[in-house]
Amino acid sequence: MAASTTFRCSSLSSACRLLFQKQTAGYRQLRFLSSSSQDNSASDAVSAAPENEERDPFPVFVQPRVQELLTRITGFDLMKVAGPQKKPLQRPIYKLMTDEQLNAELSSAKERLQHRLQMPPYMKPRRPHLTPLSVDPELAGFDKSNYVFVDISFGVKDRKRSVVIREVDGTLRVAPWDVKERMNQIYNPREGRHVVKPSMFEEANLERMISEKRYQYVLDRACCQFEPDDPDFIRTTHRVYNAVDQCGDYEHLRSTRHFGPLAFYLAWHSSIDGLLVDMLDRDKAQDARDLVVLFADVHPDSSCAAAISELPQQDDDVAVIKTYLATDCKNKDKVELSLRAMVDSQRSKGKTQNSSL
Amino acid sequence: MAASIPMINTIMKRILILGSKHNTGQCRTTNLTWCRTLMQSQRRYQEESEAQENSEEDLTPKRKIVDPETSIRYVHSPEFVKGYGDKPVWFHYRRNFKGKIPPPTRENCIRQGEIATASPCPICRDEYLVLDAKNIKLLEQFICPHSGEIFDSMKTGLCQTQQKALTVSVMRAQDQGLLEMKLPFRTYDYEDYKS
Repeated sequence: MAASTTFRCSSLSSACRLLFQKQTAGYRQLRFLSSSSQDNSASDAVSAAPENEERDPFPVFVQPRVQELLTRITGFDLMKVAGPQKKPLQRPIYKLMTDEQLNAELSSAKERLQHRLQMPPYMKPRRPHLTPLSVDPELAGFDKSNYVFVDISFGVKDRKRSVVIREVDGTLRVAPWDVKERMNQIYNPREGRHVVKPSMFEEANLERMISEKRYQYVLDRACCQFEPDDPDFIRTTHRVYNAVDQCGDYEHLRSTRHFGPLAFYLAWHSSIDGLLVDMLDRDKAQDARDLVVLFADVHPDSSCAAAISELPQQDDDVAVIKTYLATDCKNKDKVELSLRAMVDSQRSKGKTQNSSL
Repeated sequence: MAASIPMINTIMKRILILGSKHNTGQCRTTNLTWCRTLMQSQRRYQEESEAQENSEEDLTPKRKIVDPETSIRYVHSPEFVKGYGDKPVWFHYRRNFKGKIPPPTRENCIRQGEIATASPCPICRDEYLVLDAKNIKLLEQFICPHSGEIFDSMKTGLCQTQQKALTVSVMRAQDQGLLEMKLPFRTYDYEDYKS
């Protein structure tokens, strides 16, 4: 802890003294060392973390089945995905097309836009590196400030880039995450990310933006600014997800890239009832079923998962939701009421269609 | 000769609008209904009698200094609507320059604490307009609704000092999340996060 504070004090002077090292033999050794120490520090920190946080959500999140469910419930509203956006003014392009060409153009545009719904990864907060790479007391007092070594060889990705610090007392350690991100932004700047964290993510400003219901902007900017396993990213997004869940503003995030992570968050924390009621009220039976299946996938040990796997016909939406109602539902009355209302409305719709035929 | 008479008339009108001594809040010309006298502070080279008045009471500042909170209240008040209508504050401002090609706007309108020009820029002419990060309604008038960019000073007529202040306060407002900015789309490679 003390070491990191000394670094912050002298961060300015050390930034001036950045040393660039390309792939020398010694540096390769360093990189090897850093990777081994990360493993050590991770195993050290595991014992300190509480037991229920030990499970890593990311492997569950990237399962193809879970991804498919999340994409399906996100929906695709063309106006929301590709609605009016602020961009530099340009002249419109007019083209004369046949119907076939127009349809081909539309479908290719839809394919391109699917990419805009790529979900930000849902991860657990990263852990600080604790164990030093090497302690060399004979180097103590070599200078008045810390030295930062950054690997700037071509083609290294930001997450794989090794950044190490030689401290004044001679200790060599992997740089803290904030230093690593600052170095990444200096050598490999990414548009939309600032070296200094925007004050928008401070508590007071965040509170104001959430009360103004500007959820999407907060989440978009958090994606630009932070890595998905940054504790700040996780705090901000969870804060927004909670607010959305409490106010029932799921419609704000539907058809955006954040709806999947929102649903996953709710499923992970076993509080999907609000979202389920919202889906049933909007007559989205298929989505509601997908959400229950997602819940069962995320919690394979729960009684709901066992009950669903024993169902004779798994395609029946209402049956799956009823299974959830019978097992893990916390707010039974509300969900049951919405389910009944939805079934009734579907039945009456079917009747009118039959009579019109 | 005939052509010069209307020109003299317009010049006289301008002098009447900007240089009215008695700032009662009413416009003297009848055909410009949007206008009210915006300036209340002293100008340089004002008439002698007034200058003497000012010298007697030395403690009063030459130009009224308004804090951002007051400015925000002003921008939301009916008085503001009466002065500017539903148009941006720079909409009716006309620059005063010789020749066909407009030169860059002037460095500043206020020198040594008082207005030093006959046609100060839209922000300088009204001392109750203060550019601040929290004054969102005012800042939005200087941002293009389609592209999200700050308007050029050649379009709005702001002096360079105020244009800089505008840029800084827009950036501050974006930092605090008061104004939205255009964000790039970030693509994730899931492979990076495995392991």
